[in-house]
Amino acid sequence: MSADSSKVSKFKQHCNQIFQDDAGGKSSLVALERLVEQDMANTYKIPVSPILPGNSSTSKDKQSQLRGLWHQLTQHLVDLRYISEQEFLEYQGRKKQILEQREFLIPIIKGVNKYLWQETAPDIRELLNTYDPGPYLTQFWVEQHLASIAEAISKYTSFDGSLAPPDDYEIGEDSCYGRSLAFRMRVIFAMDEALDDADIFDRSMIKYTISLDNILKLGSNPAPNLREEEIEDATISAEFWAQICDLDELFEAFFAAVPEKIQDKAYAITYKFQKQGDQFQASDYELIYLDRPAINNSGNSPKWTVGRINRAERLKAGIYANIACRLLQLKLWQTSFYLGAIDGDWGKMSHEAVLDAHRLELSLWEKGNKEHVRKEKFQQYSKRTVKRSVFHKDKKGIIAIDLEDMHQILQNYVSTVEENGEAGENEAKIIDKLRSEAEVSEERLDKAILTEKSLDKCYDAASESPKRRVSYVSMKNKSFFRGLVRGIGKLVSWIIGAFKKVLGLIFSFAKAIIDRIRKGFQLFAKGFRYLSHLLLGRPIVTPRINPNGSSLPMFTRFQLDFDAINYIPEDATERELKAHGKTLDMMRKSMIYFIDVVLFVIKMIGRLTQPGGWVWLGITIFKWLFRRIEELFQLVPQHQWSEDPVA
Amino acid sequence: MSFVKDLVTLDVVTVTGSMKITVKDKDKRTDGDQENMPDSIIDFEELFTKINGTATTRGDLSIVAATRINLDKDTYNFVANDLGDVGKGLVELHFKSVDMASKSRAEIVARLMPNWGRKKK
Repeated sequence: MSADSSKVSKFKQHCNQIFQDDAGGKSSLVALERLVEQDMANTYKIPVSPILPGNSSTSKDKQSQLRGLWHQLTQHLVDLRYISEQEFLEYQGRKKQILEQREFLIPIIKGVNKYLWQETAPDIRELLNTYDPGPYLTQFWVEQHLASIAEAISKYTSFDGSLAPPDDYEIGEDSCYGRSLAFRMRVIFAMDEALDDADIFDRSMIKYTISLDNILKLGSNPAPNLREEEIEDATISAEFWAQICDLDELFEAFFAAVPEKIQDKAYAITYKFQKQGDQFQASDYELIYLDRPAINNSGNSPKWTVGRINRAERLKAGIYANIACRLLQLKLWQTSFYLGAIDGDWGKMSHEAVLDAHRLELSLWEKGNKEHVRKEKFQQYSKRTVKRSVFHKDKKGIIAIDLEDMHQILQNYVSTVEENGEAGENEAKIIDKLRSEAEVSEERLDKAILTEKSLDKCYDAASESPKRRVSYVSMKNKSFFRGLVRGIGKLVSWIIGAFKKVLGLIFSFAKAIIDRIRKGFQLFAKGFRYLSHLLLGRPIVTPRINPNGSSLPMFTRFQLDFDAINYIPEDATERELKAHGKTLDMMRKSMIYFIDVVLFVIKMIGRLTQPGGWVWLGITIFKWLFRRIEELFQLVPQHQWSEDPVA
Repeated sequence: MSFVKDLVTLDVVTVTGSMKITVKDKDKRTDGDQENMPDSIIDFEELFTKINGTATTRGDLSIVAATRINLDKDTYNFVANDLGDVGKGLVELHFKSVDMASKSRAEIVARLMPNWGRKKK
């Protein structure tokens, strides 16, 4: 990392010069620009916008850093059926070559194209309006905007409440929402092959939402008491949308909706299993209940034993066990303990995910680490409660999972409950904790996270398990990093290289940190480029729709005093004029933000006192940027720019 | 920053015509070698000179519109009268850039001056 530490020194040096010296300021700005656009873009894997000249992210070695983003995007595309399962499998098999052999990406780019034209989110519309990709989407264009696209599409497959109900959704429409609804019904409620086959949600599937509503008593029945001929008039209510996008709401609904005879009783999911080496086979799962209260007089859950499991009553309505297992699988996936398909098929991966989560929680109690324990939902959150949440006898091949307790334990890691604190606070805390308490050097932390090398094994495993799904933590989810402090021991072991195998938890941590750093620096780099182009007098260029040999594109060039010259080619079309006008408009609207960002970041750079520290800097920038955007636009940012006038 | 001295007036000029990149520059530009990129593919100083004086003699550039805003907000606009079918779009773009320039300048001055204008003691 000596090269990186030298970059830090150079960065500081140029920033200080800009502050201190008029003459040196401009030359420092040129050098700083190079550091931001090339060195930092490489370090933080920022796909830099092509609208301004000076983009250097097109060489092959730099493109290869985009692999992770391509994988994330492809996973969302197949979940939403923008690409077929077959195309996904082919991609998985060839993903080592996709960046060199572009033809392998053709089906993926077609899927991206379809998604982009269905996306109504303002940031993506603005992206398409401003940087018109032309009639044929290219790999180059997609890669320039990969981080924004992957982030935008992720909300349609997340269950963390980040997808807002649509303003105007019509059942049967082929849209992002129609595909998202079909995906959600497949994941939670695939009781029928027809549902499994559906790419978009149509009127023939309303009966499933009605059934789900009836089972979970969601109270948002889209077609209460409708006769067959009235199904045409049914709509999906905003309440139903909100519930089906929020896993914790679904869990709450499930606990409230189980049959009365087991309400307040101790109940659990159980199954028998056989394990021999790598072979694992589980029998059908069941929901069982005891004639004992869920919470005993001491405030603990009752203890499960083999005898009690065998003697317990079986809930005959198998649908509850099925939905329970799907919700639990989803929660284990969301918390990165499970990396398989959410299909209600309870196999080895699901089984081990439960045991992993249980073991981790128990180890925290054994170490006496009770910090950050969320107690409010437990009558008594003690080691005994944690221990009793999973009863497990390997030799006898039997397990009982207390659903409510397990859900609460997993809530400690990721929850959709509104957290206090600002975006980035928890990320910054865990980085600080890793730096100070865990005695991990800046250099080591940077190396572990930014190089992503130790995550390679995860990508390798993916080609062997094509159904594997990675959970990506939404930018809006503030609880993930708070919960992650619980697994800090594993993170430290990973950073110091003690872990050979990358666990889901660590993978998610690294991905989430990198995503935030990338997001922060992407915004910063964009702002910096506009500002530095202004200060250096470089033109703001809008590429021509049909490039014509050596003829120059439309540009506006500002001088330091904002005197401006516009050049418009004599054969410019109205569409090009409009596109350039939008570019200027976006630049104006974002000006305050840009300047604030650059000034802030330059000051932050000055606080780097030792080699390394890029991760800390990235998270700090992310934290500050999101707070600043919220202040500027008075809303939680879901996209980079807003149509609202700057206050 | 010294550009503060230039903030007395704001000039925006919009030109149209055809400008070509020279073959030499174009070759350098497309080989991806950032180190050997030409300093600029357009000589802006020269461009301004041509607009002020002899641009039309070469017949490759003509002024669509020009605006000068003085410190006291007195504004002078010039708009060419032979703009053809796309003239409305050209003029709209011109005034959009005038608007952008004046607002941006006000913002940038307000924000950068306290930090960047400060001299070392």
